[in-house]
Amino acid sequence: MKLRLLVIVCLLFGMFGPVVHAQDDMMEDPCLAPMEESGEMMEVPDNSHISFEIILPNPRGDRSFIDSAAAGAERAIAELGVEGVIIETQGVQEHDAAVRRAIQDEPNIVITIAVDAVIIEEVAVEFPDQKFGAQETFFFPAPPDLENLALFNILTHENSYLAGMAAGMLTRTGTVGAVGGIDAPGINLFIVGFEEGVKSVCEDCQTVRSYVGDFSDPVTAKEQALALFEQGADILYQVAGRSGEGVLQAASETGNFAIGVDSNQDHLFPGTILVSAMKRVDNAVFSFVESVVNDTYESGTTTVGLAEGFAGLSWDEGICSRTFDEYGPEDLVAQLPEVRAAIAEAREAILAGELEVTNALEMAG
Amino acid sequence: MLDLLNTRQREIRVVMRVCAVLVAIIFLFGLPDSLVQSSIRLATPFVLGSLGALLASRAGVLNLAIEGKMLLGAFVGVAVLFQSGHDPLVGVIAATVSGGILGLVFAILYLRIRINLIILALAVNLLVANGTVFFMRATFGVYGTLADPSIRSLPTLQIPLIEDLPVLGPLLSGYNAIVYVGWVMVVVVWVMLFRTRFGRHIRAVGENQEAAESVGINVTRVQIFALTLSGMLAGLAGAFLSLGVLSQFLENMTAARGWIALTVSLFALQRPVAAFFTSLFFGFAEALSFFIQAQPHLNIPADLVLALPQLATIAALVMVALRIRASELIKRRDFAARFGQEISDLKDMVRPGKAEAT
Repeated sequence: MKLRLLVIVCLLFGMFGPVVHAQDDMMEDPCLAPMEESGEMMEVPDNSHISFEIILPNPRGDRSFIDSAAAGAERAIAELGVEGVIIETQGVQEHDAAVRRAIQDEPNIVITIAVDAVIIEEVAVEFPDQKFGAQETFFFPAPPDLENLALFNILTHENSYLAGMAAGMLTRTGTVGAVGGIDAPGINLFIVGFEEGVKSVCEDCQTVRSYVGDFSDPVTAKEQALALFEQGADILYQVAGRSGEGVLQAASETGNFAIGVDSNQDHLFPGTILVSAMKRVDNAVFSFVESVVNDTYESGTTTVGLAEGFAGLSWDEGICSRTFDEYGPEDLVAQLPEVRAAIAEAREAILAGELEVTNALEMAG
Repeated sequence: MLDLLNTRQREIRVVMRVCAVLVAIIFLFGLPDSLVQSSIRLATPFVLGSLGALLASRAGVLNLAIEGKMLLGAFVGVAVLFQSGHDPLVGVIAATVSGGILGLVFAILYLRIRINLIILALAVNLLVANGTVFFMRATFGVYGTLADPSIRSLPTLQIPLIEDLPVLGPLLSGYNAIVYVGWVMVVVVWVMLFRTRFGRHIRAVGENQEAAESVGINVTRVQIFALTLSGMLAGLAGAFLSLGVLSQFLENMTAARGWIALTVSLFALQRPVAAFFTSLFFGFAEALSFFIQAQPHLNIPADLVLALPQLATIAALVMVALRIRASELIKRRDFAARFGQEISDLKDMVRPGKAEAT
């Protein structure tokens, strides 16, 4: 009995042995990497008297929204030389405690990511001397006017529209779909914009959608994606955080396609992910910290989107992801120049105000 | 109504079986293959998990740590494969073994050191949930998601002759190995529980520990074995999620499936075959909710559709409870009909006696 146990334990350790080495960092961007490295090495200003704390709504590792926010915080620490603390929470039940805990350290700014409006308003009123920077918090109908509260919202209906155009032009079956995390205005902002984009280039295309009901259940998301592919969809836009991994995997396994969200996800399944609709949460976090460093912090609401470069596609300049060009099937890759030209045209129309995309948040407000 | 139920029990049972068969036939012919396949895939973690839960329950231990053991299995399966180039099967075996080891440790802590069962189970669940996150960061240096091209998922098996059959083809063929193992395990667990000496010992221990002990059964050993097997089944269920459905590990990816498996086992009154069909029912309810959402012309709110599995569960629970109550009522009626006269005679006998005494 004892001997048997020993053997089992040894076996397990034997299996674990060879796996203990760190993963190579594959996130390096071929377009940006050489430029940034040379500049960065030169000078990091000493701002160690300035500190910030950032509260993430969920643990890191979604390879999407939350990781993007964390990346922004890490960049701020590295490039601005400030002291920063990244606080991960397990979900909405911990947000209030985490925010209050951060306030106790008296950092120059407390940054919250997608923390509920009720919590933020309460603590911002309670601690008038603490500066807050809230990313992704939507107050309905209007935000409160507080001296110490800066809101930063990135609207993603316009870049979702552009992603929708890509889907509408590249679909072979005439059906495309979206998988959302939950049926909420913040998620429908993406999906409604996407569907409009699809319809703009492909009048007869059908759009389908499905909601996982959870941002961290990829198993369910995968089954939903399979159900949508079965309905004839061949391109799915995932707006489901960690659950979205299941959508991407389902697309890769069935030979269909997907569109990534928030971060650049093109490389996760090369040749499966057409493009990613990016939301530069990292830049938003960085700009919050920068505003404290440069003493330009201003309360009030800032709403940005495609025009300001906070929302875009992974094909855009600066990221210039060309993963799909390299790994995608020939017939679709051949269409890419045409698609990119149409998107560039639509982008200009949106920026010039000639083309208006429905903002699902306003509809909800 | 009750009299009708009472006198026509046999007929009613036959009618119910015919109905069940009819429903099954409609299920197979009327529903699209993808929905059936999806149900079976979604049911698999419940099948394996509930078998694990019912084995432990039969041995008299309510195994609340199924969720943790599942999550550990999911993690170990992926961790073993990470950049090692092993076959996915190695990961599945490692996951099963790791679940078994956790089950063994759990059993020793509970039975030898006598830690409170519920506290221990919750501690194990928390430890695994956070331990897997810790090891992902400490060992692999990644946050939340452990994925790598070196981790491949289990291949889908097409069974040569059966796959060409019209209805049975999509029903029986086209899953990965763990799904089939799940089906086999239902039979294995049933045979073990009801046709072997060891199974009799497990049931004896579960029914009445003192009585089992008094006839010379080593209660502790039986429980340790049952919990170890239970852990192995849960570990396998976890491997199904991380290597069968996906090919990556995500933080807390079991998403309470272990708890549902436990519910399934309670719901099926700890019977393996019933647990299998209950799991299928749960899987079907889930798959149906996705299927309905995927129909663009049906304009039903998503939240309502997503609540479908829960609504189905409540409906089923009510039905089972009603059935149990009805059968109790019938038994009482039966008893009154058979012994009513004798009981009243007895009462009459007692009453005059009382009168005499006063």
